[in-house]
Amino acid sequence: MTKIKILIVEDEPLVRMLAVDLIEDAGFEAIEASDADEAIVILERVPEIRILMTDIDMPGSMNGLKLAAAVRDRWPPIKIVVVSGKQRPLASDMPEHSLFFSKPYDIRKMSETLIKMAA
Amino acid sequence: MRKKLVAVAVAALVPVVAMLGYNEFAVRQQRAAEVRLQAAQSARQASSEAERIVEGLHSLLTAVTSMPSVRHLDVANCNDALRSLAGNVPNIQTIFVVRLDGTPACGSIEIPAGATFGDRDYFKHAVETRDFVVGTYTKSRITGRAVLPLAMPVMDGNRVTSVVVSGMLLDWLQNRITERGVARGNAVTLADSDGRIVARVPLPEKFVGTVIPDEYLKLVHAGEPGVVQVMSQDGTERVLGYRPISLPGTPLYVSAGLSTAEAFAPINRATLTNSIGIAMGALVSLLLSTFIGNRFLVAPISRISEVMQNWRDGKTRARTQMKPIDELHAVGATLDKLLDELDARRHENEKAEETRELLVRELAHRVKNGFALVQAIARQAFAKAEPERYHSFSERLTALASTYDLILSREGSASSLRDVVSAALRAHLSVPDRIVLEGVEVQLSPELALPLSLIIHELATNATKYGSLGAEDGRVSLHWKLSEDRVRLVWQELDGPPVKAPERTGFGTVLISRAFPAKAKAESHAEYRPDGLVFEMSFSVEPASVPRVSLYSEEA
Repeated sequence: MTKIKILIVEDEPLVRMLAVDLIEDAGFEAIEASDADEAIVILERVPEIRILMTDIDMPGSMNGLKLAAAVRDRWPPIKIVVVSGKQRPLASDMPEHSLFFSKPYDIRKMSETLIKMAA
Repeated sequence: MRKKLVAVAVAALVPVVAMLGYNEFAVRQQRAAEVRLQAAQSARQASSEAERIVEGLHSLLTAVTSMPSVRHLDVANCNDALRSLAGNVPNIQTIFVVRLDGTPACGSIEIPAGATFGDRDYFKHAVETRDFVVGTYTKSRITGRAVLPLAMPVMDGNRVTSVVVSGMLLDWLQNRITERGVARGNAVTLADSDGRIVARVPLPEKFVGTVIPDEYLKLVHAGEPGVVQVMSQDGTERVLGYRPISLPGTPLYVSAGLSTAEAFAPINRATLTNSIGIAMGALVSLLLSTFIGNRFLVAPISRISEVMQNWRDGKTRARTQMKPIDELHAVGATLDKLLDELDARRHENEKAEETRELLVRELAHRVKNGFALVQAIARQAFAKAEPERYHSFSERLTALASTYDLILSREGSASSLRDVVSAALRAHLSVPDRIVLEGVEVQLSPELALPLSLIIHELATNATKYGSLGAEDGRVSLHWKLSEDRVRLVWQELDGPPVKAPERTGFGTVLISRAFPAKAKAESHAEYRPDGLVFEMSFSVEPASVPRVSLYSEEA
């Protein structure tokens, strides 16, 4: 049985590694991207991705919120988790059916959330 | 302001009015003196005229007494002479020579039968005094006309042989007085020694033959001529100059009355003109002071105060727009400058505040990213070897970070105790109604909020592992009170598994003794009751940090 694929977009390598560990510990396959542009390329190439987990502040042409909006637009089935050290964005800035986690996030809660989303 | 300006104008007018008032008083005094003088003079003139007339008749009668036909009582010649005389003298009607028994011996007209003068006072008086006598108002028994009788004794040595009697026609006297005339409102009155009026201008027909009212009767025989102020019988107020009969050679009482209304008429007209002038002047000056006050004082002051009020109300663009043309406008112009400067400073402050907020937000971001990095590094270091310790560490870090969230969202100011506790418990609130929060509103400074959040997190973690939150129906009651600036907080676990005291001092105890600032004087006590842990702690808050007292109770 193939594992459910989760795309993690995070520019800080250590934090990204933590997320990868968390995703894999929860029993999923983690695909890494260091910015939004890279994420878009991966999403186009790997259609099986079910969940997007993205930071907001990242270098490149798009930040996490713009990426989330683009994904909601182009790949509506993909579920989205937005993570940031900044304050919680306004609900109007968040795509529909997406969740927000403040950094640093509770690893257990994140795992539980991802498992619920994948179910 | 307007009232004060009017007061200034009035104050300026007061000396002018006082001066005019004094002037008025002085003029009236002077006029009154003049009028008195004039009244006295008129009385003297009228009196001397009357004296002259009477003196003329005196001379005439003296001449008659020297006539041989009179001295010898030659009746035929006497009648002729007297008739001729009476015909030539217009102011007498008749002349008689009367014997001492009162019967007329001869006269200018035919003597009616039974006529006698014996009962007449003037006749008796002339016999007694052996001198010329002027009688009192009399209606002639012979002609019926009003006369002023005159009697002159005919002397033979020291003996009175007969009396020459005549009468001055009062009609004639009246005509003489009337011809002299008087100014409007003035009056001249001649009276006999009884006070009966013998001639008067004006209105002789009303007064001649009447007696002067009692109150003035004493003037007729007063010792000296004088001047009095009276209300005349004709209703006119007059200044009355009078000459009493007692003066030598004054056979008649004379008074000359000057109407005060007429005498003071020009002055009254002047007074009226002055008063109107003053009133107009006062009105003009009040209008001017109001106008000038409005234009140059009230309007600018109102403008300035309006601008200040607008500024206070938040209209920061309000300016007086005044040019410093006078002192008040200079105040307005200076106020504008001040407001400009305040505005500029406010903008600077706002910019500085924006920059500061930006920095705080950036810093918060970096701090939290730092926490995330620490979490990741810790995972690299010991997640594989000691997964339990790593999880515990990671949760503490998360609890700390969420408290930071809270504090940074309020930008370093005080946070509510309830919010701090709720944030620390967020990770453990998968079943929300298992933890009940109850207590008054208390504000905590960051240095109290951070250790408290870690302690609450620690208690919740332990409760999940060993205590009531680990059991199916276990609950926690977290309640706190505030008294005398000290928070007393109780964490009570209920319906959990039986508990026993741990063997070593917990992290929470260490936190309480180390993490709280010394001035908070934090104390704690843990009681491991069989039915659940009861953890009590207390710490001081600064008085200023407890402004609100709203009591509430809700479930977190």
